[in-house]
Amino acid sequence: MSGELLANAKLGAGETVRWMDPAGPLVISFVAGARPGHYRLRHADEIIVDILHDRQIVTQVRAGLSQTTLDHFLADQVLPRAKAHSGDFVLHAGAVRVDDEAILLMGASGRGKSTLVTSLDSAGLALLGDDAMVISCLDDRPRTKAVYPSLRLLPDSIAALFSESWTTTKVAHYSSKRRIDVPRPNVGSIDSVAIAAIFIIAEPVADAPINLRRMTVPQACITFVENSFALDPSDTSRAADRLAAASALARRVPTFELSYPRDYGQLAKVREHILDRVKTEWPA
Amino acid sequence: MTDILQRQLSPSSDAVDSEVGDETVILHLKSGTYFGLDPVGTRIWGLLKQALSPGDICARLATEYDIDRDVIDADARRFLDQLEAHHMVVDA
Repeated sequence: MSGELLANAKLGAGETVRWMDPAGPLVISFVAGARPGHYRLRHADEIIVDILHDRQIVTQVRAGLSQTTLDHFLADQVLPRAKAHSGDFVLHAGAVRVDDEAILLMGASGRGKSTLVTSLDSAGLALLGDDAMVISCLDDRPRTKAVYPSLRLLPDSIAALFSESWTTTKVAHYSSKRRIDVPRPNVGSIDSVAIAAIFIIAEPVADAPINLRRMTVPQACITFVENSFALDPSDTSRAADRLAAASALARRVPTFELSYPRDYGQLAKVREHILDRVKTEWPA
Repeated sequence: MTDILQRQLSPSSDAVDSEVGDETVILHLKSGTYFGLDPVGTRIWGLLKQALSPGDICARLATEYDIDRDVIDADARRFLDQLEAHHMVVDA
C-alpha cells in the first residue's frame, strides 16, 4: 500500500460508477485502462483505494487524514469487498462461539448487532467478529471465520455493557463508534467454526416481546444475499456465485428472525432465547 | 397487445437464480429485486430456461399436474405477467 496526497476526488478518466452507498459517501467504480480488473473505492474526497486484479491494494488519502481512519476504512469497507471479489462469500454479520460452534447475528446498520454480540461475549461466549464474516459451504456444515477481529460500539452501548473502564479509541473521524481494547486472546487466532444457527435482527417495534420466528429457506437466502459484501454488485457471474452460496447456507443452517425490545435490561433474556433455541436445534 | 402466452420469452440476462429445495430464488441484478418461486413457478422457470414457449409450457403443465388447461393458462398468464413486470423475463 502507499499513501499520498489526494488532489482531486472527482471521477477520473475511464471510471464508470458501479455502486453508490445509499447510506454514505462510498462510491465504487470500475476503471478501464491498461490494468485489467481495476476497481476504485472513494470515500468522499478523503480516501481513494484502488484494488487491482493481482489483489494489490493502493491507497491515496487527503493530507492530514489519520492512519486510524484509513485503517478503519480498509478493514470495514475494502477487505470484505476484496475478499468477496476473490471468491469468498462474506456476510455483514457478527459472531460468537458457543462450545465448538458459532452463532451468527445479522441485521441492518443500527439494529443493535454489535450490542447483542457484545452482550453475548460479556456473558462468556467468545467473540469471533462483529462486522464481516467469511462463510464456507464446502460440506454439510457451513463454517465461518472473521475477516478481521474487532469490537466496535456506540458510546451508549459501551456505557451500558461495560462496568469496567476499558480503553476505547475512535474508529474513524466519520463514525461515532469506538473500538474497545479489551484483551481477547482467542479473537482472530482460531480456525473457522461450524455455524449452529443464524439470527436476523428485526426492526425494533415499541413494546414488542422477545420473539424468534423460523425463516423459510428462500427468505433466509434472500436475507443473506442482501447482507453480503460485493465489490461490484452488477457482476453477473459473482452475483450468481453469491446467490448459490446463500442458498447453500440457507438450506443447511437454521435461521431465525429475532425481535426484541431495545432495552439493555432485556439483553439477558434475549441471550437466553438465543441459547435455548440453539440447544433445541442441536441437542447434546 | 399480444397475449403473453403467445409470445416467446426467455429469462433476462440480468436475472440469476438458485434452487432452494423445490423452490427457487431469482435475483434481478440491476433492480435488486428478488422473486421467490413456489414449486410450480420453479417448474415454469426451468422450462423457460429450456427455451420452451409459454404455450408449450402450459400444455406440459396441464399434463403433468392433470389440471384443466384454462386454469393453467390463467395462472401462467398471471405469473408470467409478474415476471415481466419485474424484468425477470424478456422477449426472446
